[in-house]
Amino acid sequence: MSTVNKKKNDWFDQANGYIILAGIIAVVAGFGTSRIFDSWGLSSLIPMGIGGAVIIGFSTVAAMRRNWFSTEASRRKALVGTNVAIMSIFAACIFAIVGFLNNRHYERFDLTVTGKYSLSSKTKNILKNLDKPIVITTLFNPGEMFYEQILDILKEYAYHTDKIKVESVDPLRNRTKVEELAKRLNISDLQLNTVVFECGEYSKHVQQNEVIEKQYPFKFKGEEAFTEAILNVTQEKQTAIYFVTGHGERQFEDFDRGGISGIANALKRDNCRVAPLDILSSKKIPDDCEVLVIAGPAKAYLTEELNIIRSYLENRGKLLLMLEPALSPNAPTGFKTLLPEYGIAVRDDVVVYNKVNMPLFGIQTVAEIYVGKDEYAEDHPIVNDLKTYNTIFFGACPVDASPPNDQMPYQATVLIRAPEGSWGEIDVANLRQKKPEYNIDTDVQGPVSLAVASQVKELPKSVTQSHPAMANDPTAKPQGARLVVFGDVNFATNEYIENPGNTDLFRNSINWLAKKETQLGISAKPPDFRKATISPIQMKVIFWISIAGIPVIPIVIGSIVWWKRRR
Amino acid sequence: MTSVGTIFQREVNAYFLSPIAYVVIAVFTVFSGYFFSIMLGITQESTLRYSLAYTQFILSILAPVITMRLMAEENKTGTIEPLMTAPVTDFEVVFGKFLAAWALYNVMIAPTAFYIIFLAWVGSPDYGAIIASYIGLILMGGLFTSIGLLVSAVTKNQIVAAVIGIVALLILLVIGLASTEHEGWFYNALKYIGTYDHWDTFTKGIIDTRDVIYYVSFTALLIFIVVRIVESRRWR
Repeated sequence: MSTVNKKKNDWFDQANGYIILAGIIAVVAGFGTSRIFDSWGLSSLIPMGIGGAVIIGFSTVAAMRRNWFSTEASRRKALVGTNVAIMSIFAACIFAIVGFLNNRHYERFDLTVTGKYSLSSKTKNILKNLDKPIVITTLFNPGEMFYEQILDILKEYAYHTDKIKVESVDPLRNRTKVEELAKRLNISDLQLNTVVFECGEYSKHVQQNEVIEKQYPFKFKGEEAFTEAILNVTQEKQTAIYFVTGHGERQFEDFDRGGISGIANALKRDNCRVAPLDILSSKKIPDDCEVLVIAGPAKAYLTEELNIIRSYLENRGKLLLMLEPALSPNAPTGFKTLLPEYGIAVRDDVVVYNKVNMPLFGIQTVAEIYVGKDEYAEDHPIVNDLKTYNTIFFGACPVDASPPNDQMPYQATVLIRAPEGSWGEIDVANLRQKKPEYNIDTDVQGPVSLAVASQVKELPKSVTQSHPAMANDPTAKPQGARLVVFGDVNFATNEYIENPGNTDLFRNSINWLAKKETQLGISAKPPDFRKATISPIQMKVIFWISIAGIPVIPIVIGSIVWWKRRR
Repeated sequence: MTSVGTIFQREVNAYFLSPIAYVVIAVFTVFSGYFFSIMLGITQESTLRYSLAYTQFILSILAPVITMRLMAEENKTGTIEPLMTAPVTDFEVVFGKFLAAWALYNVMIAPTAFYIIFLAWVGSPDYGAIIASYIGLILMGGLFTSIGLLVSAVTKNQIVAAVIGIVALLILLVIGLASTEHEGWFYNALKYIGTYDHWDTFTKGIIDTRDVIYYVSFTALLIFIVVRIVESRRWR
């Protein structure tokens, strides 16, 4: 009898631990299955139930058979074990709570030299003002070029707002999810290597070739493309921007150095619709026009056209005017008479800059004007974020703000001044023939302003009546017109647009005019790719030092220690 | 010298007066050097990011080797008993041993500083990202050694301690990796517990307080449990 019992004891003692371990595995497997399939079915409940019963049953039987609670020593052992277990569980709970709070309240610091993983201020502004949830799904094969960068930057988007949810789907391994997505978006052929942005009923697909410039050196343009997609799916309406034609203005379909196709493409990325406008034939500014752009008129505007523009401005119009400084002083554009009504004064002289130090030639006078942080206005939404970027103008004419006037319903602010050393050259006719020199008697002394923004002030009605455009209408009042006038158009042309500040200065002006304040700021810049140029010899040196040279050091030190201790 | 300092010195001496430290450092530098040079050749980018991804895998194997002896040997030889009766607290014993293992871990990763010289030779590395990576590497070392210490505290066999430690760290690495492509609270919890995502952020050059707190709190939790286990021996 005792032999049988002993055998039973042996069997139980030997197998007990393994059976309880199997029970734990069953519980974990059942729970894991339920989470993987996201439902509590028999496939998860049965292993959890059996596993739980096995753990409790076998633990109880083992405790009874070993008399865990019958002697003082065993009772103390059990109590100590229970104490350790409870304390550990308690500490784990604190760890879980810390983790939970940690995930809700956190900070990130980008230590990379160029802020590689920091989104541009413009994108941050847009994300901060999102009011609808967006689901971003990446349909990428993980081995694809720039896939890592795409995920990295999308994670940054999700970090800045809880409105964005990022989901990664491997289309080759997870066909079901791809089909579900295609069905949801009502697309029969969903392309692979795409990032899909969804917001309500709107969706936008960003293809791999829109994110990467597949020309060496490869450029990653993820932030630009993704921010554009977010704007597209969240803004139901595109901003209509009309470019006036018919007076020699720069064309947005002109891809040459002097054209402004680059800037038009940037506007399209900001969810804008650009269109040409011939004021004389249309006889009015279209009703949907949100910003009217006049890019470097070379011929004079007729009075009729100026009146249409004036009427548009009085009716909440928004105008971006870039004047062409290369015009002869005898060819006025007509804006000299219109702009003073809005507190803006334009002159005919040309801004000359004489501070460029050329190697071998000393200080030279050039038409290019380099604008840095000290030349931007102290506080204006258009330039507030631009102060760490340089903008280049080319031969601008001075545009200034009229002195403050209580009777003037518009308040003009100087946005940009030419750097110290610049002056307004009156002798424009001979500018090309001889080196310009500052003449204290005739030329305009610096500082010279290059750009002005004007908007309506909040004034009593009696004051607004004094504005010439409203003189005949006792009920009229300024409706919120906004103007931005630059003394140069070249800064926005394809030739200069690659310069860091130029595109953003233009885009910020458009966004301020269109009252899209959330889109102001610095746009995404090309990412910092630190290429290593390695010759075959260098590669060999690095390889052998890494796998043989460095490991020899601890071996030598270890051998010396061993040798000394042996003696 | 404080009790922690005494224990720390005793353990550090034990490491560096025996071959174990030198062997572990040599093995680590061979493998990390191999992955560094291979990844540099493939990516042609002056960054440590890609080679450090493999470093986590190597460290998952070597960290338990560093810690396997710490408590298991004391348990096996019975030297834990006189240590318990010595005028030191359980926390001081555990923390001194932990610091010693962590110190060896940091000495082990120190030779990788040579790689920065190589990167500067062939390109212009982003030193901000490198600093962030090393902060992550040091914090991760704290977690890895505390896991090794816990496993060593519950067994008498050093080999068993090393194997279980390696398996535990690899599981943490794998669950972090496997859950990155899924959403939902369960996967988010796994992602948080797993080491992959936290480490990856540091290698990019970002210091995220979530990752710092994860490493610090997880390490503190494990040290707390080890102290409780050691304490329980006193009462048995």
